[in-house]
Amino acid sequence: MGNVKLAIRTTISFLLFICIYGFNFSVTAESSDRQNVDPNTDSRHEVTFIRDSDYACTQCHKDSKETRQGTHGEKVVAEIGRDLKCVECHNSIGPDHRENPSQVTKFSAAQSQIGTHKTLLDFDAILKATGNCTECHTSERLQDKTWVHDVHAKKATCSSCHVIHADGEKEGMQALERKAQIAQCVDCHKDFNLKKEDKGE
Amino acid sequence: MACSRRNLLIGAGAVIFTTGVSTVAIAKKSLVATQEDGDKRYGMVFDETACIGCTACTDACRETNNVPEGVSRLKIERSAPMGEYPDVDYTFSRISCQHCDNAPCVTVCPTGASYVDLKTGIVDVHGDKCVGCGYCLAACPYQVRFFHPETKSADKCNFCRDTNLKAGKLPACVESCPTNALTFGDLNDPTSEINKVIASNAVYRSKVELGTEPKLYKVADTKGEIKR
Repeated sequence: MGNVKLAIRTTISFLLFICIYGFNFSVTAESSDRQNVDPNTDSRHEVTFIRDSDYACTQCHKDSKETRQGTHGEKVVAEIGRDLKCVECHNSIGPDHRENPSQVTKFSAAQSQIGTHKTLLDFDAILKATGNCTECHTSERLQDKTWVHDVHAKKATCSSCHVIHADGEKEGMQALERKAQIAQCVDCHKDFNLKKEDKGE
Repeated sequence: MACSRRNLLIGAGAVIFTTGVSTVAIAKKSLVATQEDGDKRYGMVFDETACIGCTACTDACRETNNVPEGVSRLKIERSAPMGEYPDVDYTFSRISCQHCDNAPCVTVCPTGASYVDLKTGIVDVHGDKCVGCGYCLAACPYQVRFFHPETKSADKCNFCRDTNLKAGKLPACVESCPTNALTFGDLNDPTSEINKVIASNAVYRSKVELGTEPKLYKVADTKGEIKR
């Protein structure tokens, strides 16, 4: 009888041991899993906007998103972590945009001194026009790039020298060699002088 | 007695007097403002108020006179930024030979390589005569002379004397300036453009107190520190 009792007791304790041992395994397995999870590759579902705010724009301005890649494409994403939307630069788009597009902020060449074929704007209008750009391209950054930005701050809009929607490769001033860049200075400033001489100043 | 001792002495004295005076007069002609002998005194005006610092002139100079990289006959020096955005401004100064009438580089040259051309007033260098002692580089108060890396002789601006001026054109810097900040001409000619510019503007020359009599005039801009 004593043997049977002993056998039962041993079996029960053995089973108990296995149970505890097994539970122990599952606990360590679970905790080690948690540790391996990378916080960046969270398997949580990513929430995105269903509505693309640029959808309506690109229905008419078909290539505009692509032609922007050279200047405001990947570099912007790398810098601010997301893509730029059309309205971030081209704001004040009213409901009657198609009938009255003049309200929309546009970027075009203009300067404060009279040239032969150039649009004329006053200092305030130029500062207002460049205000959108200088929000990101701050005056400090522009000065670091070149001193030329400083002297033209109130005198020419960005588009006078730069192509904002550059297709793929950079265009405008940045794509030019040093010599060609100087030729651009000469081009405008020679024009001013000729104009002045015409007026007999 | 037709030829007395007294007459001979008087005659000899007269000959010495007339030849002496005439040689003095000829020697002085290069310095005084005179047109009769056709001698010129080329000078230049740099208008600081007109310069935009584009450096088209320095490039034109380099090309026209085959100035290698690393050295330069003409530099445009830009000041530090003045003011706050959007009213930041700069001043520009021309660093080049001032073509002194009383040039220290000429005075110190032991071989006569450095000289003032009396027909034009241009300070130039005989490359063949230069031994490369570097005395002129040290003597120039404007620090504009350098050793040409190819010819190994002292070199500097000579108003494009061998290039554009020879071809009947204006110096390369003057031709290339988009804002007409440079005026080149004969200071001896009272009707020349340069004399009109000098007469109608507040001009100054650098380091006149040294007595070098530079022929590079500058129209002072009103920005930044006071210039003289």
